[in-house]
Amino acid sequence: MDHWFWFSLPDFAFSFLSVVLEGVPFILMGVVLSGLIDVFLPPRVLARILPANPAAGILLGGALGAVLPMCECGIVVVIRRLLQKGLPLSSAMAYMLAAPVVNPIVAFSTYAAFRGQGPLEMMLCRVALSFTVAVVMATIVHFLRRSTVLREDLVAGPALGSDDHHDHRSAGEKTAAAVRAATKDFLDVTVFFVLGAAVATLFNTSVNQQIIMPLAEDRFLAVGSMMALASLLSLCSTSDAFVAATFTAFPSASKLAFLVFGPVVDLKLIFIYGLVFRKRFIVCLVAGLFLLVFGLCAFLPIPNFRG
Amino acid sequence: MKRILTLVTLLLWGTTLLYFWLSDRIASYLHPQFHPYVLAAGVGLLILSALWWWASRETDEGCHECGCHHDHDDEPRSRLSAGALFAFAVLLLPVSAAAFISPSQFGEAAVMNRGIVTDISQLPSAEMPGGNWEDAPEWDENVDSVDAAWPEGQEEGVEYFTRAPDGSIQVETLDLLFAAQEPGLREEFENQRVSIIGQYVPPRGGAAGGFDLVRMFMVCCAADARPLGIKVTGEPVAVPRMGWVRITGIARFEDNGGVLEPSLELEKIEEVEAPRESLLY
Repeated sequence: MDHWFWFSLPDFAFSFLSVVLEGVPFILMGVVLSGLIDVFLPPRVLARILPANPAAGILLGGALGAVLPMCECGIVVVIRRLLQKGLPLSSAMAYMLAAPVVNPIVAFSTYAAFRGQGPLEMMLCRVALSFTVAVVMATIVHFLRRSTVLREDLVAGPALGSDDHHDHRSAGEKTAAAVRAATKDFLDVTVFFVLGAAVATLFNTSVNQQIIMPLAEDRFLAVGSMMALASLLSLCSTSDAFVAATFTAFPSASKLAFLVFGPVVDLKLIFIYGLVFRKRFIVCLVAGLFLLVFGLCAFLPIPNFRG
Repeated sequence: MKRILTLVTLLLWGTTLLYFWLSDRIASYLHPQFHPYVLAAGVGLLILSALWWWASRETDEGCHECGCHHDHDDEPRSRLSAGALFAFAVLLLPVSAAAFISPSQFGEAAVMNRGIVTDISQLPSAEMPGGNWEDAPEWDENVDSVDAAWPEGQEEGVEYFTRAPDGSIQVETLDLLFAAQEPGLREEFENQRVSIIGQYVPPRGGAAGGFDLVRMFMVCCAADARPLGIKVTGEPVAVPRMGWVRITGIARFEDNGGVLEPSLELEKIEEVEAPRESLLY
């Protein structure tokens, strides 16, 4: 190996554009759905369909993303609203941690990105692991006091199912609000996506990949390093699979760790979590998620998927 | 200001996506299965930009009427903060600059950083070609070799390699890498005259004894592409590094540390135009 870093602007531009062109259609798909849900499905309806039984509430919260998909950037705002309306913390936590992955859009984009690398297996494993992580963390949170977890202004909220003050809006006003929400989400998410794609591209085109081979060959190092990378890149869950799939030398377990950990812990999310949770809880949440995802991906017998 | 910048951003992204689709530049960036999504997203963003212009005009009226007390920092007509300016710069500048700079193919830095693949087992996503050159139809320079039309009367679903006028079999780097690991296919190619298009990569420092012919292979997009290399034995020639060439030579398969790798004995090299799809898939 005669070099470890060789930057070429044309190579960077070419690779960066390919990631952007591939990811943007999925981001757009996600924000349009998110905008429609944001306006046409008020949080009180969500609250009404969740059962009173805590275990059932957690399981339903974890699966809710399948019918009400939300990306990780938009979900925190929705959860904040739901908590203000008195939604059980454990159900909200399960929905928040699962919905960015356990939804049809992300499942489809994961399947598309891993074409030739076991797309069905990667998609199913990603969804199953994310659901498991969400349910386990929500169960732990169920046993904590709201005051330990939530910011002071969210600890005592109004009764569950209280009316949203915007319900009187006409269909035209709601459509306009959906367009504004979708546009805002698109801009917010795309900024982080562009920055993440640039960092990932810099690594992919400029760093001699032989230097990370020792990480790829050791399962524990590979899983840990891919989780760290997912947090640093802060990619949207609708498009992160396309970046993860480029690390062809890494074992499937480490790519799954990237895909399960990234949507729940990344640099931008740690700031956004501050809207809802206490700082000390955020530290515990991040540490708990790291240990759980690492444990699952490093110790479960996940083979290298092909074909 | 924010309203206008948002409109400009949506328009720029929409037209960029449509431009790549309409100009066919997209062929070098993405696997064909993603091309329709780019078209749909381009059209969708243009529609969203028109809707945004309409929806953002309604904002002030709506809020004054309902007398609500939201945080209005994110409203379309709010003042532009430094953070928002930075966000718009990130949204507008990198993609525009990249579209202008990008040569739609990789250079030597990416090839060397990713490492040349000479053993097909390092490429889990590639599919075995269904080659049968003995029944190959006449060579047509307008048709990519492995995408050639089915000869009339032949069984559909079997791919045929085509022949050049000099009798050489038109193959891709991928075909020879597969042949190295598949005895039946290897017998078909061994000691045969073949012709391959790729990029010329001589050893750095001008060492004699041969060079590499590489062609990038992608799974989904150029970002995941890996360079597939065939060793060519012969003297380096006066072709620009990473220039596109057609090599004609005799195919050999040699044991390299227990792994069979293909190579070519150079007979002829000629510079050619970059193919429409610079990456294999």
